[in-house]
Amino acid sequence: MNKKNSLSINLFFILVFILITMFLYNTITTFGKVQGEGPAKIGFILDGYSNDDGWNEANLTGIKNAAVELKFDIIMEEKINGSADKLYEAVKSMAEQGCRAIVFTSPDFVDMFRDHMDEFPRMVYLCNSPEDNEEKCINYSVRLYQARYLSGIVAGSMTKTGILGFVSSVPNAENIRGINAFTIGVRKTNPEAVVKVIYTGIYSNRNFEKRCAESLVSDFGADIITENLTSNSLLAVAKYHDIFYISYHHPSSDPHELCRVSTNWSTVYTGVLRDFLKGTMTKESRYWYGIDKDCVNIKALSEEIPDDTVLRVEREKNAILKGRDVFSNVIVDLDGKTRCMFDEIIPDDALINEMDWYVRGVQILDGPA
Amino acid sequence: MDRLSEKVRIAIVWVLFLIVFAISGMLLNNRLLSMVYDYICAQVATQAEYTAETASNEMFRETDKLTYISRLVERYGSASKRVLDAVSYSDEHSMMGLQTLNGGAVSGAPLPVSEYPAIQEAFRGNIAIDNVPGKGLLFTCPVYNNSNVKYVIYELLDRYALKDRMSINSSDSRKIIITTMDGTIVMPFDNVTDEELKDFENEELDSVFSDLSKKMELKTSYAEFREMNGEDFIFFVSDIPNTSFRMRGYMSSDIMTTGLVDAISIVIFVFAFLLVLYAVGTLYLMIAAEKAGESDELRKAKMQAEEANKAKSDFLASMSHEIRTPINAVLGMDEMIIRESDNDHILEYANSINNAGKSLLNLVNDILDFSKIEAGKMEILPAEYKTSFMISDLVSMIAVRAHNKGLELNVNADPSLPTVLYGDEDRVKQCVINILTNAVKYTEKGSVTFDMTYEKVSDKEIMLKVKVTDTGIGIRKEDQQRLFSPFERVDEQRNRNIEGTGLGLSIVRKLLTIMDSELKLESEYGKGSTFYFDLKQEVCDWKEMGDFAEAYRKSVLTRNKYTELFRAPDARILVVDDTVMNLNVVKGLLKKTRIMIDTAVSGHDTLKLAKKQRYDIMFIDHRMPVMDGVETLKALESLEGNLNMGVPCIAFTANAGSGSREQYRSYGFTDYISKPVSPSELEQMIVKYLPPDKIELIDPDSVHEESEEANNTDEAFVESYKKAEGLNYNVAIAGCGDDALLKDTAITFYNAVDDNIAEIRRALANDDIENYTIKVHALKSSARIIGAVDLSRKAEYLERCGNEQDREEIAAHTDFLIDDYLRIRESLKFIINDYLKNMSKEESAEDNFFKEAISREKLKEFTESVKDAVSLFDFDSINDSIRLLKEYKLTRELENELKELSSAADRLEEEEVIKIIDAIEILYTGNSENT
Repeated sequence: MNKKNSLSINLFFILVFILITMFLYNTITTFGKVQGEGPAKIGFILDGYSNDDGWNEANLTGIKNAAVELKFDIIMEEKINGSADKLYEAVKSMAEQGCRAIVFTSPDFVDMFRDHMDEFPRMVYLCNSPEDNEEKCINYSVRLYQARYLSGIVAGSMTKTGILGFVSSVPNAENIRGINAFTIGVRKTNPEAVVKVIYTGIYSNRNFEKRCAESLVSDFGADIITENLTSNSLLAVAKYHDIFYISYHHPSSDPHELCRVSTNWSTVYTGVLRDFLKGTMTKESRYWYGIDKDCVNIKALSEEIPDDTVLRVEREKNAILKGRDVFSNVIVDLDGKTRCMFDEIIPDDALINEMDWYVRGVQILDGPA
Repeated sequence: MDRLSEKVRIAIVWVLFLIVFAISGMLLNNRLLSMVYDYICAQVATQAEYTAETASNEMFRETDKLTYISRLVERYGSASKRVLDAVSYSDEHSMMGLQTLNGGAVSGAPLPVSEYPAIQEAFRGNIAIDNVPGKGLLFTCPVYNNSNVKYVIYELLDRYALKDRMSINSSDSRKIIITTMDGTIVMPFDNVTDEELKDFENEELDSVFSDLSKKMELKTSYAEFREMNGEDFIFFVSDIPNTSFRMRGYMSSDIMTTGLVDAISIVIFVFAFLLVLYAVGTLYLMIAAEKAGESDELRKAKMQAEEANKAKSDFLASMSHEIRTPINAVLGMDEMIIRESDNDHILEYANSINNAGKSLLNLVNDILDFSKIEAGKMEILPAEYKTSFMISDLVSMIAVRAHNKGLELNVNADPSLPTVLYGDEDRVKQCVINILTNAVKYTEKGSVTFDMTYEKVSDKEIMLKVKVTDTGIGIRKEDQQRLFSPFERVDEQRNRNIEGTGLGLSIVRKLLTIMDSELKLESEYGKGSTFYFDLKQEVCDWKEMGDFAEAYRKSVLTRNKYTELFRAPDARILVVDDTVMNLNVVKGLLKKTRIMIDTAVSGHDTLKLAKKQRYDIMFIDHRMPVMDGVETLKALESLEGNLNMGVPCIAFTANAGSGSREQYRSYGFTDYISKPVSPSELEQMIVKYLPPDKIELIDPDSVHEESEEANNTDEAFVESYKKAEGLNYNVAIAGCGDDALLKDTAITFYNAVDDNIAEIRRALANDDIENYTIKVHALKSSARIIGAVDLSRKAEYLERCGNEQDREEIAAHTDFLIDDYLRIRESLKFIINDYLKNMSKEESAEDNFFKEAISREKLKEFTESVKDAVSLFDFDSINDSIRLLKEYKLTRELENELKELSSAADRLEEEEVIKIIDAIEILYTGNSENT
């Protein structure tokens, strides 16, 4: 009994000794070390499906790569589908989960959320918005116009009717810039060609999109169609009419695909979020990456494109890389106004915020009823 | 073994703690250092950021200048070349120009757009600064035409120019350069020498900075300690804000660390010091604990020793007490011998026993007293006492001793002393007798003088002054102090023949201290000593006591030989004691008072007797097994059918001491009597409590004669009884209680033998087993009473056989029994005849009374002849002379002297013989009136 007692007392003291020693060791080795808050959390909101093979998926792939490189966690919300309430709930939930920055991947989100921005004063909104005029947002985007321009060169060389159909979503600076760049490219190889544009008014409405494209082909004689939409619904129209289709970052191996305007968001998100995480981001910061960083490109050139056209595309691409961008030298708008003179170049500020005019060769049509 | 393992365990724990502390210290040191280094690095990194900010501002100052120029160009439109030419400055180190988009330059050297990203960037409408490898830094700024960019104004500065234009300096000892993101050196800070710049180009350093850049991750600056060529450096990198440049730098770590590392050193030093302190402290505590353990043991040992001492004291006290009981018995029996024997030798032996026993008793009493005083239990119990009695008691006690030693005892008692005093007589006597005894002991020759006077203190008190002076050996000055210590005996060498415990004076001194007095001593070594003390006593009766000698003489006469003072044949008393011997002693002592004595050996017996018989007095022993005296008394009080209500009960106690009487009274006893029972005390007690009508006071002289007669017969009887075959005297005396009873019993037994044998035979012949058994049963008891042990045993066996109706055994053994019986009869016959013969002889000795008184001449003749015999060493003839002298009528004193003389002659003690003869001459021949 006595022996047993003293044994258990000994064991008790040995245990206490070990515990205190461990505690001591732990205190010495960890005291004062800032407990890592863990990886930063970045909110990421998509309007559509994250696996839509289109815009949403391309963005998601991009931020995922950035997250790997910069070691942050992505908190994603998808399928907002243009609902301001859903967007609000998503932001709120992310704020509650400790996100310090939220990526608005859809150009519409800024307008949808503008009234709620003050509710989360410490939140940084990273917006892929068409304009860079929202104070509370840090604007990021890609110089998609560069790829549009190159695809225009291909389209101009390939059209037989000289009429090109363009289904776009909403007439904002970004989209206008794309239409203008495409048109400038088309006219580089076919100075008489016309780009006929129908706005659907929304980024995703497949049936209407198709009807618009149908109209452009059937009613207005377009023999190559392209778009600035979320999905590649127009491919079906192209197939139906056995015409070429210039896709917008949707990979497909269909022979009707003339070429693809592609974006690579990895570099974009890496650059934007590095600055955010480093804390070097300012209100004046602007992230606009172009073909020089391979953030936009023209890909999947159809084998039916003649070699000289391919060479022409290469040459033009090179010229851009050497500093002669799309919107330089003489550019005249639909009203006959010279927007850019010889040896001049329209600076980025103007491109982003002041592109509310169309170059010659653009025809804006009303959509089908 | 356990202790060893305990120590080993403590040592292990101690070492374990030390190790943990030491490791903790090292960890703490490392941790503190790393914390401080981290802190320093953070500081250096922050500092680097500030510096980078400054560098950034410096760089943008150049672009600001360009912007200003661009505004000028824009304003003057077509005159832009002239404007630029006017403001631009170009030399071998710097170049400024206005570049067009198509590759040409409006002013200065053309820098093709395709080759200079900074130019491209400016054409996008942005200000840019870029490194042009091998040429320097290119600063660009757009020049607008309306909202479009028309030109780009640039300035290209090489390192020299940069150093000249920009004041990028660090005033401290940091060495900093600006590089591109991939590490290409753009420009050094002002304080970087060419040699140091080369160091930066060094691959080793380049890899360090590349490493640091990687570690920057998401920070804008980073610093780290590195050792380089045996020296500690802090290397740091920082982004230059708003540019694509980075800063690289290093500094000696000493600048940052000195103070802080010192602080850590202090912490660690203190920690180490505390560690040592801990080690020393715990060691000290361990040793202290060890010591404490030792002192614990010491304390334990001390306690044990004290307990042992107490146990020893207790043992001593109880031993002393236990010893008193047997001494009491011895002295009591001896007293009986003295009373009942007139045989000179027997009396002499008995006296010796008495003396030795009393010495022993005194010794034991001393020890008891001493232990009582030591324990603080000694109480002084004052009572009235008669001064003359006390003095005569003292004198009578010491006179014999003094006389025996041939010392002159002078007693000077002031006759004017008050008759009755109030004080503890016993204690006063004890003190004085101790001093007197000492005086006699240590005085060989001369005298012992006992003075007692007084001084009146007040109307109620006197100061009793006691002084004892001797002419003894005296005490050395240096020994006088030791004299009062217990167990100390001074001058041991010289006094080895003198018996004593050495307690006497110590007790006296302590007793006197208790009584507020002090024993004083004056002594001259070799000449004698004087002990004296003054004692305050209250006075009850101022009447002068007169001459104490009268009382003394009376006392001496009565004490000389025991005599009964009374007879009480009608009285009946009960004596209760668990020791039969004590009962016998009491019975013997009171035999001649003819008082009827019943005895009981236990409380229960007492209760039974108390219901049957009324007694005049009950003596009950205090200490008895099962039911002690006090309990017995209580039981008696509540006993139904007790015939003895209100009968005086007197306690026997061996515990007599201060307060005994009060104590026993509180128990319900009438009085108490202490053991050994003194005959006179016992008789006085009986006289005191017996109803007066039952007491017949008698003349002492007549008793004297009677007792003498009885005494002389006993001796021969006992002798022959002891020698007799088949008889055990001791068993007999135990059975009968005393010789007289035994004598009677023996005669009765002897006379009954023939009748009994006849009856036994008859019963056997008639096969009357019942009667036979009764007969042998009676024989069993009666044989035992006279000490015929074997016969008793045989009778017992046959009684058993009778009870079992074992006729065979009875037939076989009865003859043996009768043989034994007859043999005992023969023995008894011899004894009884012898006794009867003696009786007749003693009767004739009564004639002595009528013998002629011895003349002085005859006595002189005798003494001379003895002296001659001594001178011739013919001791045998001395006894012959003594026998001749017995033809005459001799005084009792002379007879005693002759007895001593005879024994001295027998022992061939020449000196003793001479001494006695001298005494006889002085007493009788020189002083004719005694004869």
